[in-house]
Amino acid sequence: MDDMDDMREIIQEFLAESLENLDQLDNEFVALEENPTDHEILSSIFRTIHSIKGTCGFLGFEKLEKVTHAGEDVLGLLRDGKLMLNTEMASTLLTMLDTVREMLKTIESTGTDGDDPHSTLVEKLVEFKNTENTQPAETKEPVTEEASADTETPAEKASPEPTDDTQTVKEATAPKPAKKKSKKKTAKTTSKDNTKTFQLDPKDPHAAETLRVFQAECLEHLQEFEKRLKPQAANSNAIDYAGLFRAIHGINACASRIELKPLEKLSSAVENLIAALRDEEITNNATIAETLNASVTSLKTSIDNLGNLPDEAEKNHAKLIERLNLLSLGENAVPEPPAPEKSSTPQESKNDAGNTTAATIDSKPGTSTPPVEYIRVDVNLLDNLVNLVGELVLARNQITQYTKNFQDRMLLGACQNLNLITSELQQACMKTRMQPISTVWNKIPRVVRDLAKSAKKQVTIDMSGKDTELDKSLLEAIKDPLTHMVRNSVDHGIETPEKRTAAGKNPEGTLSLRAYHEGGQVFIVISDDGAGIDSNKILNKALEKKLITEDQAKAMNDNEIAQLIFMAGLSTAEKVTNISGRGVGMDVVKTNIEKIGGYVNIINKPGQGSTFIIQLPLTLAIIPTLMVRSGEQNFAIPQVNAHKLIRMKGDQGKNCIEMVHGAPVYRLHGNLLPLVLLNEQLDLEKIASEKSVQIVVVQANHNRYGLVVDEILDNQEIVVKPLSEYLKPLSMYAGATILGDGSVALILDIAGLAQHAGVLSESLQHAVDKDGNELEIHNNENERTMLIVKSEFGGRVAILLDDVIHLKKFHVNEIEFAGHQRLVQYRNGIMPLISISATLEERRKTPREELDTSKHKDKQLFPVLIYKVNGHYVGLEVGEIIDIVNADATITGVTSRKGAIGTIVTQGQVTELFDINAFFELAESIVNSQEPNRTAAPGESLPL
Amino acid sequence: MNQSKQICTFYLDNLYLGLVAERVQETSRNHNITPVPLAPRVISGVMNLRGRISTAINLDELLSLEKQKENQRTANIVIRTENNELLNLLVDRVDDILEIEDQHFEYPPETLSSEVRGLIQGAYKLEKNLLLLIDHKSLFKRISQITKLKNQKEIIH
Repeated sequence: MDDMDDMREIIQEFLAESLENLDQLDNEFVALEENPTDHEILSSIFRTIHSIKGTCGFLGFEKLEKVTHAGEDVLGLLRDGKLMLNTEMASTLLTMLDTVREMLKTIESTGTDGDDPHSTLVEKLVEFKNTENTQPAETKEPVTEEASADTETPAEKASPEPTDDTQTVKEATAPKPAKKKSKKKTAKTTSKDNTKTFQLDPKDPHAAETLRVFQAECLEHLQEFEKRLKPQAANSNAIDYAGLFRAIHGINACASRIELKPLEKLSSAVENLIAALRDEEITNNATIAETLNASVTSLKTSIDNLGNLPDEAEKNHAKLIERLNLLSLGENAVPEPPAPEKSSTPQESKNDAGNTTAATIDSKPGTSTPPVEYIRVDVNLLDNLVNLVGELVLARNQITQYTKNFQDRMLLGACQNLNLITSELQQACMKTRMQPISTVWNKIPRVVRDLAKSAKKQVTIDMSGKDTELDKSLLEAIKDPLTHMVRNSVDHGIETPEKRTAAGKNPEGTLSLRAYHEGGQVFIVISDDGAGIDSNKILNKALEKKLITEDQAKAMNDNEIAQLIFMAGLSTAEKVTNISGRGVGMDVVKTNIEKIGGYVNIINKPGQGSTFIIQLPLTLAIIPTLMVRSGEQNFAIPQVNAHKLIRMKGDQGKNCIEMVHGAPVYRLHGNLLPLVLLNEQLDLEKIASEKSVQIVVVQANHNRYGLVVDEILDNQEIVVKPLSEYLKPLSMYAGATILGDGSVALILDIAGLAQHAGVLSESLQHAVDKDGNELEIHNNENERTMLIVKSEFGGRVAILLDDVIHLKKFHVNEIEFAGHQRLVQYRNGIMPLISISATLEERRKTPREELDTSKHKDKQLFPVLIYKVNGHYVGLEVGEIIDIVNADATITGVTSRKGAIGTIVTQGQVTELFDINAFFELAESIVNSQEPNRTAAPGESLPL
Repeated sequence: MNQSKQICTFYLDNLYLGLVAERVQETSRNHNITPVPLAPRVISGVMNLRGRISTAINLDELLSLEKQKENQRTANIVIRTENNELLNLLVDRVDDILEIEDQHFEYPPETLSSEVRGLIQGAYKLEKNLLLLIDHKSLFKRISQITKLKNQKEIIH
C-alpha cells in the first residue's frame, strides 16, 4: 500500500517536473531553430528529453519511452554535430514535444501512457537518425559551429546580429551562442576554456536569488545522495541506485540550468558511474565507493563556492572526473586515490553575494548551509490566506478607529503594534502570490514561431522586464488577452518579408514585449515594427458596420481611429484566417483587461508599427478609487475611470449646468460634456446645497461624461468584494467594499451607469465638435444650434451659433472706450464690441448705453459671442443667456422689427431669430473703418 | 423511530417562523445596512459580515406583510445560498433552535395567502403555537425571480 502511494507520488512529481520542463523546451527549440548549432541549447534539450526517457523507463511507460528515445537519438546526433537541424526536423521535434505533453497528460488522467504508439512519429524520428551518415560530421567546438552555421542557415546570414535567445534583450555585442535565461547573465566569454566561466552575475539581485535557490536545491539533492550512499559500506547490494541516480541527476540538472560548468561536468561524470552501477554494467567495489565519497566532498565544495574553485582544487576536480569516467567504463586500474579536495583554501572574492556565503561555509566543509527552503503550496490555501488577511486589515481599521476615543496608553500602544504587524502581514501575504510575468511570456515564443511559420513571416521576439512581478490571479487574467494581442501583431501587424523589403525595412519583423512597474501599476507594452493600423481601412469598416457616423469619422485623428479596433464587431483582416480576424477580438481583450481594473491603449504609427500599452493594478483585489457622496451614501469610483474633478461654487455653480433638450450638459474646454446626476439616476435625495456643484469627469469605453455628485470625498485604496448574484442585474454597480468604519460602500460601474442613464446612445448621436462649443445634431435638415438670449423686455431672441468662434465672458471693467466704440482686449488684440441692440431695432426708445450698463451693473460678467470678420475679431454682446438649444430654424412668423429675420419656436416659446447678416454688415463697416488707421499707425490705440 | 429536524425559529410581526438550522450560519444583531439604490424592495441593502458582503433580505416584502419600517427589524439570521453566498434575513427577534419531530409536521393551511404559501413548506403544531417552516429553496428562487424581473422591466423602459 505504501509502495503504491510512493509510486503515485513519484509519478506525480515526474509529471509536474516534466511538464514544466517541456514548457521551457518549447522556447529552447524556437531559439535553436535560429541558432541550430548551439551546443548548450542542444545539450539542455537533450538532457530534458533524456531525463523524461530515463524516468518513464523506470516507471514502465513504454510507449512514452519509445517516443522520447527516438527523439533523444536525433537530439544526441544534433548535439554531437552529426546532424544539422533543419525546419522539418525542428517541426518534427516540436511535434514530438506536443506528443510527449499529450502522453504526460494521459498519464495524469488515466495512469497509463495511452494506446497510441505514435509509430509514425517514431519512424520519422528514426529516419532522421538514419540520415546521420549523409551529413558531415561537425566538431563540438562552438566557434566552428558558428562558422558552419553561417553556411548552412540562410536565416542567420540574413540578419548579421545573432538572435541569441528568444527571450533575450538584444545586446549589441559580438555574436555569441544562445543561452537560456540570458537576461540574468553577463555576456559569455568567447574563450574556449569556459570550464571556469560563471554566468550569473551575483550582484544582480535576481541572479543572487536564483543562486540561493540553486544552492539550496543542490544541497538537498546532495544530502539525499549522501544518505543513500551510506549503507554501501555494510551491504553493497542494498544500495538504491535508482535513488542515487535521481539525486545526482537533480544536481546535474540544477548545474546545467544555471550553467555552472565544473559542477555540471563533475555531476554528470558521477551520474554516468551511477548509471553504470544501476544497469549492472560494472560492479561496486571499494575504489568506486571511495571515489564516490570523494565526489560528494568535491560536489559540496563546488556547490558552496558556486563553481569558482581555486586552481589546485580544480586540478583535483579534473582528476576526479577522469577517474569517474574510467570507473564507469569498468576500468578499475586507477593510479592513485584522489586526495580529497581541500576546500578550506581561502578564495579570492570574485563575486560578492555568492562568496560571502561561500566563505563562511568554507571554514566548515562538513556542515551544510542552512538552505533556503521552498515548499509547494496549494494556491487555494494562499487565496484563503490573503482573504483572511484582508479581513484582518478591516478589523484592524475598526479597532484603530474605535480606540481613537481612548486615552489608555497601553491600549494605544498595543493598537499601534497591531497596526504595524497587520500592514506587514498584508504585504508579505501579497508577496506570496506574486509571480514574474515570464510565467506567461514563456509561452509566447512558441506561439509566435508557429504563427510566423504558417504565415510565412520572419519575426524575432525581444523581451524585457521578464522579472516584473504581478499577482497570480492577474497573470491568469491577462494570459489570453496577451496571447491574442501577440497573435494580432504577428498576423495583422508584421508584414511578409517581401512587403517589408519593399518598404525598406529589415525583412525580419520585431515584436517587442516590455513589462515594468510604474506608479504602483504594472505596464505591459507590446509593440511591433509592422505596418501599423491602416486608418482608412478601419474607418471604412466602421462606417460600413455603422459603428460610427460620417461626421464622427471626419473629426477623428489617427489615434482615435485606432481606438476603434476595440469596438465590438470590427475586424479588418481582409480574409478571416484561422488565427485572427473573426471580429471578436480586441473588444474582448479590452473588456477582459478592464474587468481586472486595467486599461489598454494603442499608439498607431501607420507604416511603422503599432504599440499596445496595458496598464494593470498590482493586485486584483485592491484598486485605487475616488470616494464620492450622493444622498446619504458613499460610492467608490475606480480611479481608472475618473479623469477630472470639477468643483463649482456660488453663482458659477448655479449656471454651469445647462440644458440641451432637457439633458444637462457642462461646457468643458469648449466642448459640451453630457452630465449624469447621480442622485437622479439612483433615486437618491439631494442633500448638498444648490449652489455648489461637484462633477467627476469619467470615461468608460470612449464614453465620457460628467457625474454630478453631492460631494467629492477622497482617494482610497479599497478591497473589491463581489456583490450577490441577486444584485448582478444592477449593472451600475461593479461590486462593494468595506470602509474603515466597517460600513459597506458600493463601487460604481461607470460603463453600466452610462448605459442606465442613456448617455451611451446619446453621446454617439451627438458628436461633439472639437473646436466649436456646440453640439451638432443632424436629425433634421433645418435643425440648428442656437443661443437663446433675453431681449430687453423679457422676450427671447435666438442667435445661430454656426459661425461663432468662441463664447467668452468679459468683466465690465475690461471694457475700454474709443470714442463711442466699446472695446475689449482679446487674444493680444483689440476687439470691438457690438451690442445685439445695435442692429436690433428697439421697440421703445430707450437710451442704448443706459440699457447696457444697467444690465452689466448687477452682473459683473457679460457674455460675448466672438466672430471673425475680415480677419478681425468682433464681439457680439448679448444680454442674459437663457439656454443653448438645438431647434428647428424654420421661420414660422414675421417679425415686427428690424434686425430680426422672423420668429421661430424654440422650447415651445415664440422666439425672434436674430438677423446675423445685419450684424455682419455692421461689423464689417466697423472693422473696415479701423483698417486704414491700423496700417497707418501700427501699435497705436485706434481712434474711431 | 421518529425522525426529527433542528429548526431555527424567529418572530416576524405576529408570525412564528422557522428555517432548517443547517442552512443557518449564524444570527446577529448587526443592523448597519447600506441600501442599494434601484435594487428591488426585497433587497434592503448590503451588509458587512466579517469582511464578506452579505445581502440583506426584506422578509416582510417577500411574505407580503403589512409595510413596516425596515429598521425596526433589529435581528437578522444569516443563511447560505446554494452558491455559498450570504443572506441576512431581517427579523424581529431570533427565538431558539428547536429539535422537532417530523410527526408534528403538516402541509401549509389553505388559509395562507398564495404568495406566502409558496414560501412556506408547512407548519409544525407545537404546544403553544404554530411554527411555519420557510422553504429556503423557494425563498432563493423567489428572490432571484424578483431581481431578474426588475431587470427586465428596466430594459423595456
